[in-house]
Amino acid sequence: MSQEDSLDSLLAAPRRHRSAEPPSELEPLLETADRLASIRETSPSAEFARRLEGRMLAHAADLAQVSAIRAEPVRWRRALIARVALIAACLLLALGTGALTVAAGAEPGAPLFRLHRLEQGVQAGLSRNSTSQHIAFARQWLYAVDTAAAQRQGDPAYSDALMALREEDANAAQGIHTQAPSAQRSAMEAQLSALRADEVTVLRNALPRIDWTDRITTTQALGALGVAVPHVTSVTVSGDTEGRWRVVVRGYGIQPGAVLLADGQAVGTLTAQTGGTYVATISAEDSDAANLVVSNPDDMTAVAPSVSVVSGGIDATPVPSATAQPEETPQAEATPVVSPTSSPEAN
Amino acid sequence: PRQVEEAETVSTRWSQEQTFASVLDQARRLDQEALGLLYRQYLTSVFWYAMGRLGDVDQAEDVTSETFLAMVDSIARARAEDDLAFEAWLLGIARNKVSDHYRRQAARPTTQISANSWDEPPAAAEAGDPLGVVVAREQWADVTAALQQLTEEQRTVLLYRCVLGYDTEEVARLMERQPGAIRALQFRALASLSRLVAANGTNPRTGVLRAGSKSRTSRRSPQQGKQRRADEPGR
Repeated sequence: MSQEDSLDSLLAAPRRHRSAEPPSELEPLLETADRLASIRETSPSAEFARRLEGRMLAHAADLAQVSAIRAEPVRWRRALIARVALIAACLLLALGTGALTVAAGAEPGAPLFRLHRLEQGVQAGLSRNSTSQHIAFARQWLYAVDTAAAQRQGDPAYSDALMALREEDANAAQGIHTQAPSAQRSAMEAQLSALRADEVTVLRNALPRIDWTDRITTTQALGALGVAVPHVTSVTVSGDTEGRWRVVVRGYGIQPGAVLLADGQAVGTLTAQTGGTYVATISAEDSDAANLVVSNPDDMTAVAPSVSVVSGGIDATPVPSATAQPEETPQAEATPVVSPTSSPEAN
Repeated sequence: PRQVEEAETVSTRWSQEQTFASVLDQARRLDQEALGLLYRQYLTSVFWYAMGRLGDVDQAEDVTSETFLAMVDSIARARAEDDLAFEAWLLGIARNKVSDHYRRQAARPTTQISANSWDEPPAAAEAGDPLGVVVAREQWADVTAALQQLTEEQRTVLLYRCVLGYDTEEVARLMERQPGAIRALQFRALASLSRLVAANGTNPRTGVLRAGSKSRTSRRSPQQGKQRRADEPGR
């Protein structure tokens, strides 16, 4: 056997499986090969892998969008195309071609972002598989959420991206719900399940990096994904004669160590009482009732629908919370699309 | 050959879920799931290739990112009869990205190894063993640096065989050479690489190799000598 053949045989076997000592003249080559092969002991980090996948899929979604706009319409879609084209023509007349061109690249937070979203809606309607298109768009906006949180861009970039993500998630779920059971539906369900697992991961990671108002909407989004989140059903604020205010919070999912925030600043730690009731004492200057919210140690944040202020023993009219919003519950989420054996919580 | 269990996992995965051909076909239409499948399947190979060429985790991640984004851009034109051919196509993109990286570096004089490369957190698989990280990096850092001094063919055969784990038959197919030629090429490449590494004072066994290679030289035919000179670094 030639030296080339001997070396080739030795390279084919991992070091630990090599039997006898190799020929002395081949030892330096094997040692060099083994050192080169030690690169296999490294691997890309999970964080890098996840980010790159999101970035790649978002890039693919953008390319697909451009391709769809340029593609020739198929004959059988003429009626739908004509209707949508009429709408698009009106938009063009109203806004100008230049505005639409700019809108195509409008990022979350940009003035034309809503127009971009409208354009995506049109594209999804034209797509042969609108559910898949919605999932692709959701991936795109999930990446945008992650980026906005990492760059601490805050509102409106973060909130625009989060809203777009939730809309596309809901659209995808709705699309699946309307499909008859089939292999394609199962495939779509698997894609949506994987997407939602990634949404949970990204949104959890975003919490420490965003401000308290965005934490409220992010917490609501996590709740819609099936994550256990805090809920506040009522907040009652009453004053005493010494100028301090007693805040009684009723709710569930409130963790030990949860704090009360007033305009995003921690003003008191909540102490658990009985029956889902929590109490904190705050100073008079912190008692701006319109902006009292509860924040768990994991940064999940909840706001009450309203705050009751009790003054002098007389119940005042409940003050609607300035930051409370009706929790968006997309219609299709009533239909579970996650298989019983999987969990939305990826972590 | 690659580890048997790894090959079986790859082939089983394609056949159980979808054939490679159908996955590629869907990926050409920018289907998210298909692209994700290809990404997860080939991420490590591309990363290892980039590590073998650059020797630095940050730079390897940059090249890996550029490679997969370029894959999306050009996948509509990808023509691969099987996953091996596709991987070769993808690694060709990675090779071009590495070349672009070196051209950019040549345009602005910076050190190939970033100042923080030894201080950065290790790749995930090594996070629990800091000493292991240092040892592993010492293992391949000087070897990958020397690798850049080989010819393109020599680098390719060593990366395919030693880093990516292809067997001789697979490398022969990818490089469109006969298996015998690949065995000869890899022998010369490893010999050259060992000499280069030893020249940096890290391989004490070089004395044995040089004595052996002299005796082989005396038995070479003129044609073999011409081939050997053609394979020398820099040609």
